[in-house]
Amino acid sequence: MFAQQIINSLVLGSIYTLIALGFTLIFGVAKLLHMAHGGVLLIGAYVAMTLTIGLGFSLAAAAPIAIAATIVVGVLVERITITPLRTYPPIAILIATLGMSFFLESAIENIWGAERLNYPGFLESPALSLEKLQVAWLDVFILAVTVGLILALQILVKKTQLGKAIRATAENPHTAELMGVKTSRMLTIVIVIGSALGGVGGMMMGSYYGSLSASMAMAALLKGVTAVILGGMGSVPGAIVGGFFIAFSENFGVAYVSSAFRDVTAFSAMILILLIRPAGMFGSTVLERRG
Amino acid sequence: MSATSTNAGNRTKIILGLALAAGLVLLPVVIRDEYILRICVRVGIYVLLAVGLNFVAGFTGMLSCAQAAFFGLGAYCSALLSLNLGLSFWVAMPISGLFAGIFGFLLGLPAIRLAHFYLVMVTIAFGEIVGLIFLNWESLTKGPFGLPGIPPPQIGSYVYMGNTPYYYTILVLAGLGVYVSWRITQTQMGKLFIALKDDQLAAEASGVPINRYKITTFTLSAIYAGVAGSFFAHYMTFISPSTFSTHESIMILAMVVLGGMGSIAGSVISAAVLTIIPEAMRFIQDYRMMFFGGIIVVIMLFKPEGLMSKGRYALKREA
Repeated sequence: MFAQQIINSLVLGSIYTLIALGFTLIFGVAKLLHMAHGGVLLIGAYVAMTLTIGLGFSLAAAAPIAIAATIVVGVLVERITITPLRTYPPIAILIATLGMSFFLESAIENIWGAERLNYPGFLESPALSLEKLQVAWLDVFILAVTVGLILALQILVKKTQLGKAIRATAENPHTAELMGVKTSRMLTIVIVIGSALGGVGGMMMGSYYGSLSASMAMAALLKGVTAVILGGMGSVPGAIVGGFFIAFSENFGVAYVSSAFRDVTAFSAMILILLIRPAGMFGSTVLERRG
Repeated sequence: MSATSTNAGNRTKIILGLALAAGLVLLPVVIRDEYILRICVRVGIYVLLAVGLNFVAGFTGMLSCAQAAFFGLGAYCSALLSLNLGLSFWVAMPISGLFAGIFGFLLGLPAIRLAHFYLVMVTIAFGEIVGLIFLNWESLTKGPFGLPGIPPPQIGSYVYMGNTPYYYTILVLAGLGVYVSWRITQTQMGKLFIALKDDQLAAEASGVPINRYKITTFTLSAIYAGVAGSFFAHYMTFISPSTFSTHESIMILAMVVLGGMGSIAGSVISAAVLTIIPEAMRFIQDYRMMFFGGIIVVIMLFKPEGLMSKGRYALKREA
């Protein structure tokens, strides 16, 4: 039971982490909350569903197309709602992306229907039995992909020229610009990376729950942002810690306290942590009072 | 601006205001269509919610996404008071306003310490928690099935029927709400509110007790929502948790921002516009919400500072 909870939490935490990483990268570089991220990544998940169930594609063929679709939608959203409003205070982008999130959610309902749809599990082979523990191959796969993506992201951010430019822009856009970094392009780049990671997370979310509905856009958004806030906005390790923290607190809350208040634990934890550390666990202690 | 032109401007404003008030009072006499009156009642509810949120978002610049939660707290409080204790609407309404106000005060205590992104998320989290409580405290709220059979308001032996009496009630409530809100902008306290939003550091440096005023705005805005919720419960006679969602909170915040933060007239107009548009768009059925989301985006793109913003409240372009 206990070990099973740990496995479940690791898998759910992977999904939350992939969603949160997009937010944190975008926030880090552009200091804005991308409230349409949930809708964007859900479109990727739906495209993968149509390709596999509807058109009979294999996962290996469907996944890249779905991720590409997520990236295209992500960049379109950026071009329409973020880039034109960059010179205004962040609230303008906040409201515009919220409007876009309404738009995407409703678009999904119109294209794929408002009801909950079954989602392919992709790896239906028998579970891996370790003594009394049942580990589905899907769980192993989700964990492995997440670890791989996190490592790839770490290498990209820490070891490459592009990563240096991203970090420089996050640190101080004006200085980065002076040093020859095209900061406006950095936003598009993190949107591409964030949407791709989100697309993977969205597909995993569908497989993990076995179903998908348009309203999961808001749920994914809230979980992702909560994870980012718990860990500290703009911090990559923070997003990972936050994502797993939420998953563990949810699963153990359900197992040992009550299933009714599953989501209450994550949100209460966020409020509590912000009370103690107003900038999150890994956030910089400098609190911007004016935005 | 010279004193005389201000007076002339005020006179025009007063005449326009009186004409508008007369129009609003006569509306149910002229239009007897129950469907249109129902939309008008809804507009009134949203005006109260938006003008209330304008205290927080517009006057002090704090973006709260919890207005629907306070709306729900007022609605459930009022419904339970009349269903379980048999209290009339007129008693339950002020109690519900205060009840929501207490929660506004309590949320205000941590909220004032937070920079705006964190505040957005804390208020969303608060709204989600309140929604989950409505959904899961089944012994009290009947969970997802909601509370049916909430008695309509009654004056003496007259029980409210049709939309007309509700229309006049919400007209008075919303009118009162707008008036109180406007009066506050004219007082010393109101000027402090605006000072807070325009330059917090300067306001703090000149001795404005920022935290006290921020908490006051949170409380006031929750009271408005609580009263609106109480009215809503007795108007619909049925409430369920799905009405008081984060979506709803975002919609109310969008009304305030699109109207121009801090502009009372802006909040009123955009509450009306954003309530009427989805109704008027019924002919495109399922594409309604898509269209609605699109409109929010388009307004933001063309007028990021909001429809009715004035210079001093406007979102300024950063250098």
